[in-house]
Amino acid sequence: MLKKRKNEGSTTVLGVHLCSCIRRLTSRFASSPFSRIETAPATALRNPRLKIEALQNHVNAETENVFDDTFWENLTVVVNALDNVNARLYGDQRCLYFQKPLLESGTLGAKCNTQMVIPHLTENYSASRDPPEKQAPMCTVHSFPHNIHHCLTWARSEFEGLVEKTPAEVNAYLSNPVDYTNAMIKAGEAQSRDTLERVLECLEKEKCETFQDCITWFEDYFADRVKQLIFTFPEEASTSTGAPFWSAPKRFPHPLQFSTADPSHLHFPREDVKIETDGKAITLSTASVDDAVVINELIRKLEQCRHKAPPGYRMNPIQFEKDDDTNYHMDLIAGLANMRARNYSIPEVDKLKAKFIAGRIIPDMSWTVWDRWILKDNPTLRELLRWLKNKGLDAYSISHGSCLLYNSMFPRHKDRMDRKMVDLVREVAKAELPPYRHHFDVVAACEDDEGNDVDIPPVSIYFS
Amino acid sequence: MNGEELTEQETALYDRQIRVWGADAQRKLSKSHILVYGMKGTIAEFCKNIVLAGVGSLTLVDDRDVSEEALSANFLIPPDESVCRGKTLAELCCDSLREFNPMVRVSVEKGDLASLGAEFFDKFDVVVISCCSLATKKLINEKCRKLSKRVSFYTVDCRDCCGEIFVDLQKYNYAKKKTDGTTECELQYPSFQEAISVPWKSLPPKASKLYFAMRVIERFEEAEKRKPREISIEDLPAVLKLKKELCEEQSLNESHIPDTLLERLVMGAKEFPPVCAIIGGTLGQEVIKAISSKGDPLKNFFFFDATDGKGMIEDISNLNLLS
Repeated sequence: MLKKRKNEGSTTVLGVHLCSCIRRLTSRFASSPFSRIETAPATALRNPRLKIEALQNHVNAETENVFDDTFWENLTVVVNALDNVNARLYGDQRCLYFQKPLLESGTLGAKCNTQMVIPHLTENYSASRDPPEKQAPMCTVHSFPHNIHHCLTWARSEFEGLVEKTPAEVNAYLSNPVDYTNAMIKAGEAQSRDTLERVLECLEKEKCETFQDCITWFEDYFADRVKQLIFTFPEEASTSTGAPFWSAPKRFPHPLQFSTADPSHLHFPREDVKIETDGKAITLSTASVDDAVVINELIRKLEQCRHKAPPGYRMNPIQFEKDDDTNYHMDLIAGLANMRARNYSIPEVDKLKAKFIAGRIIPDMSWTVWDRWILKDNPTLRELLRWLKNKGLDAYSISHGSCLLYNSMFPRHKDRMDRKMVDLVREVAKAELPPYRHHFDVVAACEDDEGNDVDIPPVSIYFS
Repeated sequence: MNGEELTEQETALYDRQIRVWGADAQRKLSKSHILVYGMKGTIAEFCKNIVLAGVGSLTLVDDRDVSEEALSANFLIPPDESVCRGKTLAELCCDSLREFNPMVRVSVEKGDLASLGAEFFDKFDVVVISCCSLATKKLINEKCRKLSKRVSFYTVDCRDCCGEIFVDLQKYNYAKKKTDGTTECELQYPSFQEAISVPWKSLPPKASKLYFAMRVIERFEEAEKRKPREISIEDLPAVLKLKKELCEEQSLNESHIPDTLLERLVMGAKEFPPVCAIIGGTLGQEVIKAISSKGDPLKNFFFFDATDGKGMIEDISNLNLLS
């Protein structure tokens, strides 16, 4: 951010990240990013009457003791060269409050834009929001990718889950086990159960220390999971209408055989990234019991782990930093994405391209808590499908937990159409629904009218 | 810069832009040789942009001494008089540009550009000229066109808060990006002489007024044997008279060349730094596209006027008329 002060003919330059050309213009190839702010005064030499003050503080709600009323009131105009929307929104609010003109700007690759925000004349920056960038639907990313973006989105999500979110959850648990577990019990949903399972897995399993562990991990991702998927949906599988299941844009995957002869198989980092192996990948658990019971069991196991761990034990969550070439983050993500691409015969990309694409992806996967949709009055399967159809959604698959209740490609599932959903959940999914429970959740995989996958929230079905 | 691959140092330094235009384009940039004439504000911006981008070499030609006017828009000239004494514009700019990127070979060529021969121009892939008379523009353009290899030629001029870029890529082949891949594309550019010979009345009704206005000023300076920009408010009545004559000659309605616009251009011999940045940026972008053969090149005139903030591309070519 550059801010011009009134009456003094001076400019205040703020922030750590200067845009690329200013960086090179003022840094004279200084290697530390901080020194770029300090060399900003060098530009004043070109115009001796211009006074430049360079500050390294971030501009946000926490630095209002530095950037106080006097600071803002003394400004004539604000010029932005920021790299994220949040900072822009904050700056915009301040300019609005203090009635200062704002010249907003942004670049992305070869594209750029500017926006003039003038008090009493134009709308302010926050008045309009860009529509969210179209995210690939979850089942496309999880099971049916057809381009490298899907593979990179998946890789990014896996990275965050493995090395950032789960360790952070572990730390939250270890720091305050009573509050954490109480919150989980209270929520009592599949989401909580899922989170607890990952936390337990993280604490219980060994670190990925040997090369053999890495190979096991590789095989889990790129061989075992693929084998499971193609076992459920073989190559010649067809939908209930007789059309091939694996028709475009779905691509039929192949498991990868780990080979030391293939250099790309060896590109997985070791000591500096904590990687957990998932020993039980092959068999899908079909038993799906009441979440509350499982949650209690998980908590009991967690307690055991916690007492076994040394006091004050904490994990080190790692935040994705794509620009540090020494941290192997991009290597891991590019490696994951390319191996997945290889599974699905999708053209792979080099690390540079992966860096550009991955930097733009904001993973929005199973870690976010979504809204629920609610359907009451003890519906049948047919009624559920019709209810979704009325929303313009063609549901081809319904599951409860990891158990499939209905899939349009299995002719025998047609017999289930007039069964009550609650009965299917009890009989097929073997779920135990205690007397105090009035609802259960299902996940529906849907397509729109054009056959594109559409993500929807879980559907809560009330049966009493 | 030796050999085919980018060095590790280049890859690290140019990391951000390689993500935009790719390593292949960067390689081509690092092998390119640019000639620049007329070290004013816009050219200073252009030079800064291509030096930071990492071209192979940049040769500057401008034997003029530093003047008050030069200081107003050329940020490459140090404000310290003791530093400037005895050095030409090109020499001072060369010193500054070398500091921006030691990996680019920046040098000075002394002498009159118009008198330099084919073997000199043959060393370059791109020639950019500014502050040139009509005659010089035509002459340098022809020298470039006569070479056996294809040289990209550009003129650029900024007056008041307006700017004009002219592009001549001769016969230019490149891969045009489409939604489902790329297709080989060929563009045929007219020479500067051919372009300005296109009858005015055959141009579209909404054609940029700045195009016509610049041609009037150009013709005036040539007829009066003035150096480029050697024009002031006293000349305005004569300029307006010339405009009338040219419009009659070309059967063009005079409303296409507002008097107010001509007045601004006559009075505004000095450059306006923000416009220099915009024009210098656009020109830098065009040269990078031409060197890397990536991206649709501008064909063949670009106009900008800060009073309305509009940038306009005009395709003015006798070749359009023939088809």
